[in-house]
Amino acid sequence: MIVLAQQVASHPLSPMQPLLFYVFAALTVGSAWAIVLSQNIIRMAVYLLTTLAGVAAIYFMLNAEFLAAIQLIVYAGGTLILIVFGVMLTSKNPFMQLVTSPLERALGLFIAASVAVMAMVALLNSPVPGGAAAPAAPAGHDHVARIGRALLSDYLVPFELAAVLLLVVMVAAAYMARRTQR
Amino acid sequence: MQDIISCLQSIATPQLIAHVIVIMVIANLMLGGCAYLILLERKVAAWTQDRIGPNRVNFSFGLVSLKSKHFGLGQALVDGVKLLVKEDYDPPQVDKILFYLAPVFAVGTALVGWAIIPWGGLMQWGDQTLVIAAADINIGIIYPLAIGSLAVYGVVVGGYASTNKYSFLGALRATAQMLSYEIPMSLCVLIIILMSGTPRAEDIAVLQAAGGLHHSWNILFQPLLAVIFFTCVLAECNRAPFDLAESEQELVGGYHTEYSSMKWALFFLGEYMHMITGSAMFALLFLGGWDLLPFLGALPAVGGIGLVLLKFAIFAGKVFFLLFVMMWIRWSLPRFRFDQLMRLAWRSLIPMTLILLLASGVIVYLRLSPWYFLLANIAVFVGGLFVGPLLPQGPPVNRRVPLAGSRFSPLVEVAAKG
Amino acid sequence: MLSPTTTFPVMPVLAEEYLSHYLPIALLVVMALVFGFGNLVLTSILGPSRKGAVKGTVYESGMNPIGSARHRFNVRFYIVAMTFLVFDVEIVFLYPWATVFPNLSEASGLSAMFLARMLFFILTSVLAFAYAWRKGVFRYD
Repeated sequence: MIVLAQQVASHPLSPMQPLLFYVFAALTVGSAWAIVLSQNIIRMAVYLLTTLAGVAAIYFMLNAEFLAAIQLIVYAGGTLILIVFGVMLTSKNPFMQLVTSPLERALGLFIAASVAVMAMVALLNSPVPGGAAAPAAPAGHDHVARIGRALLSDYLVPFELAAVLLLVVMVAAAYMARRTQR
Repeated sequence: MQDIISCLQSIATPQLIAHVIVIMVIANLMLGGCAYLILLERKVAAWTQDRIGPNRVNFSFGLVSLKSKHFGLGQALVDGVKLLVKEDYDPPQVDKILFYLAPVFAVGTALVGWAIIPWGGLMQWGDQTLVIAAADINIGIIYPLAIGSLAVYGVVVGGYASTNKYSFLGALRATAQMLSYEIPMSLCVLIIILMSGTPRAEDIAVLQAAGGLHHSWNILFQPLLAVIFFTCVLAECNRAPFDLAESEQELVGGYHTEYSSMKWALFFLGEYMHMITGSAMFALLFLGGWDLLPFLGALPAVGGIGLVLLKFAIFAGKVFFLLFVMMWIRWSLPRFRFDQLMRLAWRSLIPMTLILLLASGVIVYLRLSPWYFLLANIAVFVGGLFVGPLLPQGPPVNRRVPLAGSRFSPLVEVAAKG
Repeated sequence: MLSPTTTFPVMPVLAEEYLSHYLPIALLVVMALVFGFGNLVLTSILGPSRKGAVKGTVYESGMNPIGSARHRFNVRFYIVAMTFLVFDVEIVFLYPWATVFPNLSEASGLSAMFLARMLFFILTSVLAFAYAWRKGVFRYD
């Protein structure tokens, strides 16, 4: 704690950055908490939107601007709409108030706890808390291009697999559409 | 306290101050401009329909007596005040929290989305080169797409929260429409990035303004793409002929049926601000941004304050012209039907942009002159004309229901049968 | 794991210019929120407020509402959202490629490889598109 305070005092920029970080972190965690407490499915979606936007803001602060944009385009703009539509479509009475049973509560607690443990293990094993400074963001504006270079050379297999996966998803969606038209 | 002051001193670089000044100027211009855009819209409507339009309200506001009518320019201000003091009614059936949040979403995304537009190009300030834009971020023209993909929530949330059948249907339609047209729009932006080799807004403008035969406005190289992009902008703004979300003959007001006073006006402001952002994006991507004339390279990339103001005036002029075109289209074209709208997106715009993307990739690979893009555009357009009718079509969608006495089954036939 | 002497960066310490990248956007967001909520507060203070039995009904062009507005809707909207998401993700993968591809130097010889890899990627999406078309996903009758 003392070390942290010294750090904050020593760097002229530091008061601003932790401040912004805590604001966005509070937004993210607060709205995530609101999702859990809310019982209306569309309200949950709106709170989830705030959570996703908060995470995007933190990405933005880490100079991962492209990742932040993807977070907004894919998760906030696409997946969340899909979730909302899916919930409206599939449940019997789509707009009912959700009531969680004790079993569901226990199951949720278990899953949340295991995810938290996993996240903590990953965090403690990552190099950042060990004191190594995070790699400085490279200067210049070739940020997106670097991602492109990496995707098409070092990470080619996952990249092309993603294309195949998307093809499979599209075929499945088309199959569903065909079923509904008959 | 000392820390905060020293911190503020260290971050208040000339670049940041330039950003803040641009934000203050443009945001206020946009908000004020929206009020007058509504007046302009009414004037254009009147002009199209051979009427006079609003011309009575002058700047006296009942306080002083003025002879001149000032072309009705007082109307915008009076309308703003009127909207503020109207009753802010919350119908009892609505979902209160979401009902209040939706207009904020609508106007908020519109107010944040224009940040990367390089209104004034680059400015020399001492030994530094400042970017005269609200923000200068690496992802450049991807940023408005990211913010724009959030704009759909104003509509969805507003339509859902109203608990009204009109609103719900309007919201559903608007969502499907905005999602569908986001794809060709993103593909257009992708092709422009591929042509320019950078997503940065200022670099794209500089490339188009460089002058010479190989660096000119993108609309000359990619006319078809420009038309597709403009169509998508209209659809994303829910503007006529794509204003299905609020087609008043079927859905009263669509997603904002239950809204009143300033809450309603925020939706309206959001729409007009999206129009401005969309026009500015079009001007940036296809009309050379702040460039004066194609081929000439008339303006240098970097300059003093005078050049910045000149560039801003040129950029604003282009945006104004595009806004006028949008209004012109609104009052000239009938509204699309929903199935026509979806077919236009999925069966014409997306295949065409996909083929253009492939063609552009090959042209960039072969390092050909940009005029080959024009060739590809023409080929895709002509090919579309010929191949379109050959593609598998569904059954006729607009089946005519025989209705006694209607245009398609006149009473005479019915009487003869009976 | 953490020795007491190690520094613990709260955030990676960034150069000043980077702060000026996102600070304006934070300012814009704050402005948008203040403008939006400010107007909501102003209008609820300034306007009159009257309630009534008929005024409190759902507006359906003067008819008495039948049933609730909470309907299930056509599955077609879900398919649109699904198809959108597939293409959205494809395009997101293409942005980095479009940024790096034109800037590859001729000498590096990477150009052809990058084009071929991307063609594979795009062609799968074209295939998906053709299949969906064939199955009538884009029919709105």
